[in-house]
Amino acid sequence: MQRLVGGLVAGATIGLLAAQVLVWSGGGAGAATWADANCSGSGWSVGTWRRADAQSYAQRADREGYEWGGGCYKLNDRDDTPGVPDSSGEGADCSGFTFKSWALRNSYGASGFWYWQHEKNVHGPYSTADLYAPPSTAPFRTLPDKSYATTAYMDAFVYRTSAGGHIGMIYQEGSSGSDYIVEAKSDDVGTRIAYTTYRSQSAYRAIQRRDWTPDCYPKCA
Amino acid sequence: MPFLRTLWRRAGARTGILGLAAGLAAGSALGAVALGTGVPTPPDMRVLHVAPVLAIPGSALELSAGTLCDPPDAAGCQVARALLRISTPAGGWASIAGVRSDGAFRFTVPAELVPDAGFSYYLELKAAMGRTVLYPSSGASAPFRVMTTAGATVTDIPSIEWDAVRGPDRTALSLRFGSAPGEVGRTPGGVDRDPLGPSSFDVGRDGSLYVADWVNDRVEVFSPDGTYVRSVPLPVHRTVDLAVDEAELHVLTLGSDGRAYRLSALDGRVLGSRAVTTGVAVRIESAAGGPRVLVGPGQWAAAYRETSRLSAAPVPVEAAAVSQEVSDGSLAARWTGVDGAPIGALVRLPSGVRIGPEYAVETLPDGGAAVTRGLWDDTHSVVGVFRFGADGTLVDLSLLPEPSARMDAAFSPVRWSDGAVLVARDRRRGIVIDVFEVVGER
Repeated sequence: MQRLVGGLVAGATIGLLAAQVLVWSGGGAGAATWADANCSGSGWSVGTWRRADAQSYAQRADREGYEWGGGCYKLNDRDDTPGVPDSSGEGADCSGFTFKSWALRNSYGASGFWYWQHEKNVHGPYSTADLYAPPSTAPFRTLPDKSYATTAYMDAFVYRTSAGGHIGMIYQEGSSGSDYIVEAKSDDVGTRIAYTTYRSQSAYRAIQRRDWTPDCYPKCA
Repeated sequence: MPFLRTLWRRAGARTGILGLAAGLAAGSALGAVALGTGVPTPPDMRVLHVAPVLAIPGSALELSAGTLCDPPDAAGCQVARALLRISTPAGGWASIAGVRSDGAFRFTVPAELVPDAGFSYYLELKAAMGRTVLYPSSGASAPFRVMTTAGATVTDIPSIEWDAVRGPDRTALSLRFGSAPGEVGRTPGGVDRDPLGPSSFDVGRDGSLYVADWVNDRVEVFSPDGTYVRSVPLPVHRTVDLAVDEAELHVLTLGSDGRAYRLSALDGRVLGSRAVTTGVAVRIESAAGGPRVLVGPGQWAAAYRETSRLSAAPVPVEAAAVSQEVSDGSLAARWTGVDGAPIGALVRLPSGVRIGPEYAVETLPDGGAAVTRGLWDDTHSVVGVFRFGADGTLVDLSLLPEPSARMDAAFSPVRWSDGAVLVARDRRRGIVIDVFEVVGER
């Protein structure tokens, strides 16, 4: 009996240690960066992409990390690489997160929908400069104004100046110049859903992805 | 006998090996659960709502509510039916079914359910697997309360000159970017990088200024004349909102994983903390009943209430000073006069001018009130200070410059203190906090 108990204890210890080692190693031993070890996702063409799909997709990245120029998320509700900016860590930056949530193609100006798994480390070809002043051939456009009547959920607010740039998508419309925004904010803040005032800040413009599949699909009358 | 001893040893060894194998399996299973691949827990469902506090009587009203539930495609996250349960003038409750539109449920409240006396309501979301979520969680026993603009004094503003912003009466603080005492940190900006400065500030009762210099993991304290006094360490390296009490600081990390921390104002010792489990953490403030957290428009929750789930308590509008952008785009305000009677004001703005974020609503010694809110259109953004008299008449409207866009606590770059409005503003090499007198000498 003592040996049985001893074996159980020893085995459990080894098993738990093995699990912990997996956690520490980020799931793969010997990887050069966190992204190398964790970003095995892929992407594929899809025929439809509704705002509702984009909203669900973006929500799943809430509470995850941020990485400038990045694009890969490990969906576990925490920043897997906190405090290590620009290290091929977890998360997208603001424009990369928008690119993936909007299911854009990874070719400048291309139309159509391309589903990107969260674990795919792709940023896409667009920066906030492109999103702030899109060419007529872009798969997104500037909206004529920022009123609630003009925008819809999963449209975005973007600014770009010589000092910086940012884009956040409308998770749910609010009131009085504010909205629930889903965004890849910064290294220290991560990717989040917040209630904030981009709509009423003078620097921001409203932009919209073109060619959304209607939310009623496939049951549109 | 030797045969029996051998058998016993072999059996013992086998038992040990069996135990080891069983233990490995059990340990690995425990590890797997710890890694998140075990039995799923019911998903947390939060309601994202925009709660009005004032409405136009006899006018239809649209309310909305969405959800935040991860993973969104889980069975427990699917809302099959959403109802708005609303009080009726006859004293009962009526149900209005929500229609899914624009990423949320929309509820159209008919004009006949918006009497002069206002109404109460709560939300009832019926999810899969028999799950029902009430919001606020108190349901009918403590619903949201909406008052109306009945009897309000109406003022029309024919035009607004966006360039007619006031200059400050003085500058309370001028802080350079840096990490030395008396400086504030800023994250780098650039292509697709949003440069963030101090995330919030507040004013103590003695006029001391507290600046949330989160980049340098501290709150900096300045005397009323702007002299650096001390730094108080922050418990987290995140952007925070900030509220000052007598001897305590309250800081709040923002978003769906927000947490409120109660700190010693002297040395930053953490005296308590609590996760915000309702809505998303927007703002923290000191209030008569204790610190409270704004978890969505018109929805406050006690910061440190010791219950398993915070309830978004309805704003006690009958007693509070409140303002609201109402359905026709006007600014409505309501407060209690010196004789205890309610006073209402309704300001109709020129076409294209929109009401922005609420920063402060303060009653004044003369029975009037000052409402500080954003005003904006597609290319402009300013702070409007609406000064009302004791009868609800608009006495003055001052336009102040657009506040800092680098403060992540977006409802806190403008503060009311002792008859003045303080506005934090961005400068190329730092920030300033300017003072605009509203009551008293200018």
